Amino acid sequence: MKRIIQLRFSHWLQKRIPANRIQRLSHQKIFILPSRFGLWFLVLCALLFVLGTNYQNNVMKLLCTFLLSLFLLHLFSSYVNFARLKINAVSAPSCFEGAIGNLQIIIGFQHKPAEGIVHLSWWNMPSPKVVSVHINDAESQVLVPFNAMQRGVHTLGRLTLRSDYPLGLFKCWTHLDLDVQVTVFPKPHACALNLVDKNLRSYQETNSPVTRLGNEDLSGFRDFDNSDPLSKVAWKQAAKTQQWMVKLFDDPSTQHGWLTFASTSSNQREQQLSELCYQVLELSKKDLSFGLSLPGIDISPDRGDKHQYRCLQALATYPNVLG
Amino acid sequence: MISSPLIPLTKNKASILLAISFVVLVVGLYQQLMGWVIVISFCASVVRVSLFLGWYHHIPEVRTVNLLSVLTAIALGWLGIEHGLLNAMVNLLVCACSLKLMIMRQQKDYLQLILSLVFLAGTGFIFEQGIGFLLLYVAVLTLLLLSLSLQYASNVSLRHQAVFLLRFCLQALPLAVIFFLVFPQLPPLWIMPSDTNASSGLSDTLRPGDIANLSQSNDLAFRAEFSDTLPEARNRYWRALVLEHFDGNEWSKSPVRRGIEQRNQLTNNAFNFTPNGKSTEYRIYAEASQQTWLFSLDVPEPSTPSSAAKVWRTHTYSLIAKQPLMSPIAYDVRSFQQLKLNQTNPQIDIKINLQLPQKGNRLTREWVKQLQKQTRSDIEFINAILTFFSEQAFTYTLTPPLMQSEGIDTFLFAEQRGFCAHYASAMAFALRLANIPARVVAGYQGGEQLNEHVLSVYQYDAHAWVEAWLGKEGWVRFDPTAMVAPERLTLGLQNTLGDELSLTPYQNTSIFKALREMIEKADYLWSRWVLGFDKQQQYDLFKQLIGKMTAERIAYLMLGVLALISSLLFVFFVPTLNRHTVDPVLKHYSKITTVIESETKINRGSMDPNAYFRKVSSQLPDNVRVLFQQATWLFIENQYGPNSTKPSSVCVRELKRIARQLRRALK
Repeated sequence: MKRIIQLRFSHWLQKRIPANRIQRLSHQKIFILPSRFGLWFLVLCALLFVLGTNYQNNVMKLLCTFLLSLFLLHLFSSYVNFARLKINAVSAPSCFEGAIGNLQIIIGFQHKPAEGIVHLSWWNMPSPKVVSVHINDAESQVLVPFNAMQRGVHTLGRLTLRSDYPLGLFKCWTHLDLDVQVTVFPKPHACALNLVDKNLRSYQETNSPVTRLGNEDLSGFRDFDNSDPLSKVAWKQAAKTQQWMVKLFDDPSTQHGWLTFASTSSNQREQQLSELCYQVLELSKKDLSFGLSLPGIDISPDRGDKHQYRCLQALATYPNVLG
Repeated sequence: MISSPLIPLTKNKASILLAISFVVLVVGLYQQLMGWVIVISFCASVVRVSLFLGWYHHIPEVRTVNLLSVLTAIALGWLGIEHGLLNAMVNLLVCACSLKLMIMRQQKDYLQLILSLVFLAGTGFIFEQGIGFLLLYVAVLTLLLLSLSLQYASNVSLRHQAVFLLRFCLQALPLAVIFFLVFPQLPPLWIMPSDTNASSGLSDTLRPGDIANLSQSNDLAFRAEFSDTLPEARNRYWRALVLEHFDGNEWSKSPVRRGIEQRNQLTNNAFNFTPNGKSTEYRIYAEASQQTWLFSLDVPEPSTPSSAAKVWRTHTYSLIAKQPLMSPIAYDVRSFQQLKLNQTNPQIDIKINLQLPQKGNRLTREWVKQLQKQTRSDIEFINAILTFFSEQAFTYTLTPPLMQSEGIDTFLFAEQRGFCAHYASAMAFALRLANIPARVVAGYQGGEQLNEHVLSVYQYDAHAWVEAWLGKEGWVRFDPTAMVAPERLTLGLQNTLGDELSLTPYQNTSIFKALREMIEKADYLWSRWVLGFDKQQQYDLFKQLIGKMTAERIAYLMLGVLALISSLLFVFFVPTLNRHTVDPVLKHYSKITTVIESETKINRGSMDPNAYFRKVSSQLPDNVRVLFQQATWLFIENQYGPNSTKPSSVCVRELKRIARQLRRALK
């Protein structure tokens, strides 16, 4: 029953506050109700009224009406302040399964700068972490952490923004869908690096690796070129000969090393993906060239950040029902 | 349930402001609080102050405070009872606040304290409603709100918050007044405990022999606003209580009379008289006395229906309130000063007022017997007594000796020093001995003129005089004190006693006098318009606004009030909602372009910044061109760049620098 209501509510929210990268707060998006403190404040007003009536004390009644008008003004004041906010999601974040990701948002203003403290948290999350931001005249950049879910591409849920400005009698809040897609890569699982020949990728012929990679697989030297990373310079050689040489390893790119399911030691799909993820990261760290070949995926050998991201994304989105 | 966020201990302005306002509140309530309660509250504030300054970094342990609270509860139970329920409650509240203040750690605690302190400020108004205390409580409330706003926007400076809050409160004031005017004015819902140790110049018994030093309070008792001219000074006898029972030492209300009054109230048989002659109309603004007695000149009747609803008329020509005066009230009276006080049943009055104690004061009894022999009529006898007072060496003093046994004998024949109560008591006793019905009337005499229509009567104007029954004439007033100190009547107590009465040391310097008069006047206006506002005035106000009071018109009135409130809110908030502040970067860029425009005589119009720069660049000297190029790039980067790499404030600063250099270059 509770879930049905929640579902209904989120449908309603979707219609009322549609997803958008840039959200300008307006009456359509803002909810405002007295806070718990505000309700106690009203109880206090009622108490003062009863006391003022019983003692026939006009000053006490005047105090009561003054507090009530503060309450009324507070409603408008906090709304006006909150409605000045403009929220902008900056980047489409990515992270690894089980880790904590950060969504970067910018809190800006529409007309005049707003004031007070804005609390950000994820809507409908069990025990959400609250990030509190002091709003200044300038725009503020905020990182909102989120718990990465399962591997794959997800839309981030709604972000709840709350403000109690100025006296905490009312709370203004909104649930914004910032239309952010987050890519969750498989959780890296440490294993041996294992590049295989593309032709051996079929299952049955696994476990016969072509090349074992490691730092010790030094195969020779060549002259230093400006584009070479410093980490590959053979410093011992350089010290002796005054000539910069670059260490040559058993370069997998020349041998067209591939990562396939055969590169892994497990036969469980998620575990395999985790191991592949680890290997992609390690290989990229070593700036080695590699390709990724999985059923339905064929990324030819390359190196660099872009390549790494492509491979990781392929791993993230690899369907878990296939094969 | 999310646990409440913690509040920082050191350098937390919100909690130090809370502590300060608590101290101010406690000082304001000092009369109601017990000494040790004040000490505890000061300790709590010291804890907060030392936390704020960083002398300590830990709040007291919960166990310590729990122990303290148990001790406090015991002490309150032990000592609080005798102070009356209301004061015990206030003490309890202050204690609870002190202990909470000591261990305040979470925002929840803080908010509870804020609410408790606002409530405490509210209860403060039970005891004092004067304009001075009002200012004190306004200060407390301001501090509390300031603290609250700092708590919810701690990044903004104190000054900024104060300005914001001032505007906020000023906006709230007109709304508060409107609410106040239209809020229902209800009768008390139930009887509340009252403040038992309120200071007053009057009490419902008179025991002159026990008083060695009459405490003189310069608190206001009431103000009277006359619709016409003020009565003459010698006629300003404000009747409050009639004391008809004497036990040899003490005058009090007669039990017989009390029984009659109760019966009359039950059967709703109020005293009535046939008005005759000229009447004086006035309105009394009585201060809270926690008592039912009211003040009036003889012979009074309430002059408006709403006053008649609040006031009961007794058969002793005095008015009493139907509810004890927990707070100031206003009532309208019409007095027929020429009317004789012979409108009541003489048999009852005579019977009650010939009551005498069986024995005691032997000398007086003998003296009366002698005097009776020398005089032939009642009036002659009375005159003989008055002459006795004026001819013997009687003195008027507020510090008489104690005369606890055979008080009247001692006073008349030994000491011969005393104040009004001594004279009135002795004379009434003597008259009763001579078979003349007599009683003591307690009330106020005189009053200080505030303006041509208003008299202020203070507690030190409290007075007692004698009434004797003279057959057809009815009750006739005699003031034996006037025989001894005639100036007491015409000039007031202050002038009679001179040095003996030290009310305020500065009273005679002219600046303080002027200041005091100003405060008096403000206080009068305050009590006239705010404290005295009641159902009747509300009704009158509505009637003035809408004419006839029909349901339809009242509905319109309420709609009008709603419209007024909404229009006020509209005025407050709509401008701020729609006001677009000019982007500061654009503003400073425009300043630079105007400089360039005046230099090159080429108008930018709606040209885009780059195009404009290209157009003017050929006409500018090199150094100026470079500067203007910088400005153009900065502006373009800020306005059209990807998510502003530089914050606007940096851009503004650089644009300002460029503008300065430009002006210097073009000089």
